[in-house]
Amino acid sequence: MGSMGSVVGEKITYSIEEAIKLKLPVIIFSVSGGARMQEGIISLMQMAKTSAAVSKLDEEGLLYISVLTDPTYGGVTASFASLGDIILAEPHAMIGFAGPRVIEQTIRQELPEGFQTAEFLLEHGFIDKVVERKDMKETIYKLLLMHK
Amino acid sequence: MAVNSNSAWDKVKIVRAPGRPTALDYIENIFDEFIELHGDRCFADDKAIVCGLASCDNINFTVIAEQKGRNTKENIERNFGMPNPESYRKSLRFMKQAEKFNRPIVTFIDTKGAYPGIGAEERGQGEAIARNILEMSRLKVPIIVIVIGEGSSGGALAIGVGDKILMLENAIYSILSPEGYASILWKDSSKAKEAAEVMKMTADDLLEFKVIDEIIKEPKAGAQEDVKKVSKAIKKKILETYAELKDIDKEELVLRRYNKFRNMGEYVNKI
Repeated sequence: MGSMGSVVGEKITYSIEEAIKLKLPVIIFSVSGGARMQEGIISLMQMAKTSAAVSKLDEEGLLYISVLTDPTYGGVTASFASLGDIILAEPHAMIGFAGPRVIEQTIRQELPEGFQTAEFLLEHGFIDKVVERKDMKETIYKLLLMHK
Repeated sequence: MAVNSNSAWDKVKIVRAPGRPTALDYIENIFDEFIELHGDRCFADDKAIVCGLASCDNINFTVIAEQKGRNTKENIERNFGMPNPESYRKSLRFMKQAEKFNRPIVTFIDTKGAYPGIGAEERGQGEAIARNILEMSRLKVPIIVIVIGEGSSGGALAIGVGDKILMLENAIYSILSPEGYASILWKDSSKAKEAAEVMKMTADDLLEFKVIDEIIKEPKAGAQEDVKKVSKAIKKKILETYAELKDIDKEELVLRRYNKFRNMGEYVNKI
């Protein structure tokens, strides 16, 4: 999806609202460096807008599967991408809030091996499952069947 | 209203100056009583955000505030006001409690951003911020947000989803710091001054974008000139805003809050 500016925010929010109207589950595949800096505060507000839409979906009892691919960072990680009922990620995908360069510059230390990989997030309890792309369709299909 | 003649960069300097009042300085002056309460019940008590119960004019509030240190020692203790995930989880715990006891919430925003550290990532900084934003969007009590200094990134928004967003005249609020913006977009963090001028991060800019609702005046040199006077102005606004919000039906309150953020950056499909 690229970085999240007002157009991405609107598309995601609109899609979730349509899903609510049609009583359908939502699956979002994320790949993003985060919020779109050029749009300033308005892109920051897309985090609130999209997360609020996820909360509505949740209240309706509808399923949301968030799939994280390489890379997923910043304002996308800190909003809808982390809010799935089920969160899947592709092997070795880099996922985090702050970028590795920013962290290194802040703490002036090298980062540990495997830091911010999908496997790292799995180990720390922030995603449900690491799934290879070739198995993704079947995994999602099975999960959907269990929410019928 | 007379336009404040401080440039965006002047404002950045004012809010970062030593002696700029911190959240606790205002809290002490605004509320008759404040009891700080600690801990996220999961991992730690992160001191970059202060939470507690406060009362003013016999109204009880839950207060959540990003707190910078007033000196080096305090700054180390409070991680320069840059929260770890525990701060956000502590805030959420108190926001849920506010809902349980039907207490309005006041939050004070003042941070350079959520802390970018190894531990913060290990403990889910992104998830903590996302969760707060989601839960704030549906909390069934009035939420009043006040940007008092620096409001930067998701680290600010994680306590910033409210029914009314107020901002001190010299405060700044944006997607990231001007240094970060210059460094990422122009590969040169020394161009922070130029960045501040193009980032549209002042209270006037944000009022125009309808991202905030009202500006609270400060003395020309900033709130540091007269913290009591500025506290009084904030208190007046909190009480007025609460009076406006308190009788709104809960479902209606949540719907209005949803629409408020829903309309930020709205596009209409033209077929």
